[in-house]
Amino acid sequence: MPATVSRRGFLKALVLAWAGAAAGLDSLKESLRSVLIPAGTTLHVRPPAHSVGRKAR
Amino acid sequence: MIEDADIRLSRRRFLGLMGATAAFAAGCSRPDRGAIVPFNKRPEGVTPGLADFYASTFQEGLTAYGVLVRIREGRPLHLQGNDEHPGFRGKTSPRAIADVLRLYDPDRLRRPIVDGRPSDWARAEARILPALKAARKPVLLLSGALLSPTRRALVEDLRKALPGGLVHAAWEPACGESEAQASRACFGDERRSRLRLDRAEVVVSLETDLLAGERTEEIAGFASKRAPAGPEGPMNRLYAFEGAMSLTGANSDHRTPWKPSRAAALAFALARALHRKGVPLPSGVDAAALAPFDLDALAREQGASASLLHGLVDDLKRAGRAALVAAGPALPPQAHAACHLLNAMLGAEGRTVDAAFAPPGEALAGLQDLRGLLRSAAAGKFAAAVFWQANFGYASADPELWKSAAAGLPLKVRIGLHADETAQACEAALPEHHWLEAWGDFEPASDLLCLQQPAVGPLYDTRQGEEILLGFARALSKDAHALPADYREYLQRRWRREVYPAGSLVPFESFWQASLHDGVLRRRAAPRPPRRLDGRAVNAAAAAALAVPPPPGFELLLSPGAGVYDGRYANNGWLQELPDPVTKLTWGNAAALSPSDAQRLRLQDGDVVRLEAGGRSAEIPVVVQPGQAPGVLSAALGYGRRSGSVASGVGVDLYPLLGAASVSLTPTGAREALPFAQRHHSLEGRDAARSLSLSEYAESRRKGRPERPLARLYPPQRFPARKWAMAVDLSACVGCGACVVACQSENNVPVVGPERVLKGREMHWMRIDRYYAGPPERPRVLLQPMLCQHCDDAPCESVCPVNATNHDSEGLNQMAYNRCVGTRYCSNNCPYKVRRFNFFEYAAQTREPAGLAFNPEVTVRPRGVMEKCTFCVQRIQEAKAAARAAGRPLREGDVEPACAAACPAGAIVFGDLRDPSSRVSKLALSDRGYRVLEELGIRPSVTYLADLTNPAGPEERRGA
Repeated sequence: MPATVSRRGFLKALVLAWAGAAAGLDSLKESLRSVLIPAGTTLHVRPPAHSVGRKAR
Repeated sequence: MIEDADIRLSRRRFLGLMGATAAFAAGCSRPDRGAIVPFNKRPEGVTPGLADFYASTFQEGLTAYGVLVRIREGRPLHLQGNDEHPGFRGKTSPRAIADVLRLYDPDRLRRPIVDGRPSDWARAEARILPALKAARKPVLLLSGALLSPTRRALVEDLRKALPGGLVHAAWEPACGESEAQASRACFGDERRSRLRLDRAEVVVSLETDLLAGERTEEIAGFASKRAPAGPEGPMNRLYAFEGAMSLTGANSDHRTPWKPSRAAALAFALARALHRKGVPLPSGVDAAALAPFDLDALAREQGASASLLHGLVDDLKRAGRAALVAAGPALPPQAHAACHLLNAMLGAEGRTVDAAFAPPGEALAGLQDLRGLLRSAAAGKFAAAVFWQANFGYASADPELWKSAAAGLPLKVRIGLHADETAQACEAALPEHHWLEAWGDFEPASDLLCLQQPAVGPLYDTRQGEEILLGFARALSKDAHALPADYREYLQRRWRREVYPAGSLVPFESFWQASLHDGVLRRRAAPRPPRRLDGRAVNAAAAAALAVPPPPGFELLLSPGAGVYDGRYANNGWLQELPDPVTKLTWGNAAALSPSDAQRLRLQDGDVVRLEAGGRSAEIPVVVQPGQAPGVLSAALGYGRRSGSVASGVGVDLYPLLGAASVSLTPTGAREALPFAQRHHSLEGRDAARSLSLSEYAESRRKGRPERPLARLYPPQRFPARKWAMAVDLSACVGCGACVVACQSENNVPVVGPERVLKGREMHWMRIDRYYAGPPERPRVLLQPMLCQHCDDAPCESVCPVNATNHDSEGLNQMAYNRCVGTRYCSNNCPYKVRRFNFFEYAAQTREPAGLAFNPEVTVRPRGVMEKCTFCVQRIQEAKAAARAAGRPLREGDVEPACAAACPAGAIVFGDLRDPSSRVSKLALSDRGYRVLEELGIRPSVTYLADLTNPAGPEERRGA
């Protein structure tokens, strides 16, 4: 049986779906970054082991 | 208007529409730039927002620079000299400062490449090690200069491990070979002496750029003798004889255009004239061998002043041990031998030419040696070859020989940072660490060791070059366990064995930590006695100098590029855009011609010519260079690279002409636009850059400083706490460009590229203006660093319609980038032309990971705003915070802008003008002090101290 949707409801759902998808995918991508980005990319900047630094002067 | 009426929609269609919407929205979402990453696991010892410093060492050719690496949140951001280093004393070369950008070069190799395909270390080893194990012939290892005792030990270990043996040669295309040849002939070894310009009163430079940017120690020594307290001196005197205009010539008191082929003759003629004035010859040197060299005849031949040359002889005799004569790498060994003779006659050997603590010289391969090795490789005499550091595929000077050598080698391995010309010819390209990720040690003097330590963990799946070789040695050695897997361990073991003092009360671990902390280790070593000159070698050199026929065509002088050096930095945008200190050309090279030659051949800047020598040719645009010796053509090496997204195709590769003494020149009729950073070369009689001889200085002091009453349009400003100001001593400044690069690194100054430099849109906040005065054949050169003058009554401020540029209570002329709407009125009204408009969002065009080089303390400017020097306001704020935290007032020396911190000559002084005891206050009142365009009444905060020259006798030059 075909569902009956009001035009306002339809537009609301459309906007919500758009916003939700945009936000959701962005955060999904963010959370997957550590998995998706291969090792050795620049996000892994880290201090060196065994080096000796000086404090800020 | 949409009516709230029901619409009929099937469930399937509704869901379909929703799905399509979600997909569309996902497609439209802002692409993630990955700019913000939480530092959620804070490593021990790292305080976000506070910089740490790591002492390390940067090697270039035969020089090891002690550096301090400034690190923020794990990222190396800025390099400066290591203040613990006794030679460099906190200063370093412009190329060393800029090399932090190479760490973040997007073109770096990120994983091994085997047979042209991205691979991994296991596959690379599987490809290489069986071939090395099975080798019955020697393996060829071609590297750059080692300069490190531990690296040398490693090469020996590798030699022992390889079944067929190892042939190692170190080659540095930019270092030349004649100096070592002359040293070997005259003293029996290749030790390189330190040139102590800080001890020299009379300096004679023969085609050598003693004051080029990388000569940090020499610049500091020279500058220490250039800024006397008064006109009575003391001040050194520099004579330059050169074919191409160099910074040394530009800063000299007497510069004479001189053909390089006659430089040796000049040095021998000076020796003869000195001998005739009673200075004895060293034993074994035959006076008759010098007899054919006549100073007057040479002066006539080169169009030089004979009285100047005789005056020089008197000066040298008077200075004695405090004289210094030096020849450049482009000159033949006999010119170097003649300089050794002069220094020995004057007693300068051991004083201004100091080899007392020179480490054992490193035998570098010459061009002929390299060709010989490549011929052997082509003949199949090696089982494999490893190319490390130097880019042989690009710089080997013989492309056909390189190709045949590559064909004759069954296995070629490249260890390097990039997939460069050499890597393209190799079966395996192994990515190595940048030096900021690596361990190492260097021995610049027998009483000094420098340590290199990583300042950041490896960014990619790379290994240290030494570690790769160590891996080979371990895999091939019968006693693999004797060698550690890790180069740090290898280094530490050698230090424990050979450097750590036996019987020391300090445990090795503390000794090691302290050495790493300081970056340098001073050791006790006995000075070597002064070297004894072999008279026979000098006699032979004199005979050889006499036999040199005048070369046909143009004499060719090739020198490393000021920014790109031998080509290794050609992918560094900062160095490509750093103007050549003399020609002011960016992004490429050009052949410099004398004005008379250009007139004769009807050539002007940008006309393309074909240079030919020995069956090889290159087409290059010319630049008409005032002061160039007629008949001499000079150009920079290191351009015309065939790989690298920045380097590729910029400039012309002149390596094929390397080794040619002369070239023929044919105009092609083509023209090329040259991206000069400065297009006007004359002061047009104005006195923006002032220069005085010592006698003129005395005269001006006698007359007193003229009072110029200046009208002002605005009420005087008040600076209740302090007033920041700067002083620039033009007499100390040599124009090396360290300040320009340091400013670029500190302040996130963008690179704009050659097309925009051509439009005059370069973005440097600091530039060095170079002016010529006098006849173009023998011009005087004036160099003047120019930056925002932070005027009290700044003309830029009064025209800004949105008040984006204004004055703060400490005298800084500041920019509110957010407020700027880009009218550019301020730039139009700035008499110094130091405001830079950001036409494009240059920072957004940065390819990752180059953005990691950005200083987080400085705003990255968007498109459409004006930017300029801030006096490094971020450093001022940092110093204030540190002083507040320590509960003390701000002190002199707490704030040092990047330019002042980098200046090897100490020419830039920054401080508080309200503090009468500060250096800057004293310099502001100096009788040499003046403010550029002071007459406009805008009250600039930068005081320039007039350049001083110390000319001799009748040749005295007139001040501007």
